[in-house]
Amino acid sequence: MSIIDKRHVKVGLKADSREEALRLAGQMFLDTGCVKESFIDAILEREELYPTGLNLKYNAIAMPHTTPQHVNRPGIALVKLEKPVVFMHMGSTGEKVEAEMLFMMAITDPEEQIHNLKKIMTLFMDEELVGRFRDAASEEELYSLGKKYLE
Amino acid sequence: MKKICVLCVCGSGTVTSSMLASKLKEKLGELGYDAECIETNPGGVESAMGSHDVAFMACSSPVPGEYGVPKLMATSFLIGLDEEGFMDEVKEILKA
Repeated sequence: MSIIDKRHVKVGLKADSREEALRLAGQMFLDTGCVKESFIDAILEREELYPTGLNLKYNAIAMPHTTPQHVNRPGIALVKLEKPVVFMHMGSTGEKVEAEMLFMMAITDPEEQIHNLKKIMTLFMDEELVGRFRDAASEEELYSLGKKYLE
Repeated sequence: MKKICVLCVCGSGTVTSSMLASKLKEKLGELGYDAECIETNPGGVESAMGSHDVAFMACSSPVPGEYGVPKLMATSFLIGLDEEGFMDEVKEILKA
């Protein structure tokens, strides 16, 4: 089973709050059976306690995730928001993050998936690649980028 | 190689701590250390500290309490914004 699934890719997601964004993104995982019913609540709860927003060098994102007990199989959802939604910065510094993209992760075994996680980290620091993800205008395009650079 | 033990702490003790552990192991390897990076969440710090000789903590979430070892905020190191600054702090700790 591949990590990037077309059904977990969305361009122009409309959300007025991070809760709405997280619910809608989480629902994509739920619809395909990738995660358990408890996943969305777990994601919401965890995001408040341990935020995942990141102000990166070239853009602002969030990478919501939770513990493996809520997950059936691994996946990364790629979501471009129609307009930025406020997340808090990882590390709870109180810093706000106007997230443009969500990389929501369904993780079953971090040790096994470290390879993909590293790719995400590398991607974030590459100005050209960040630009290509930001400019992706369709789900097809975003999916191809995900396949190419995150798998 | 010199052995060293580092505690990597994040919110759920899964994703971010794994990323941190993997990256830190690599960077400490470049400095000539064979690093054992233990991954945990804030709730697991106490027991991990009790069972290991930890040199320092690298955290991506606040860790309450004092354990007698330095706590380094590792978020910017993790995302590659300030690797050098973070590794400088680490080198200072390892010198002591």
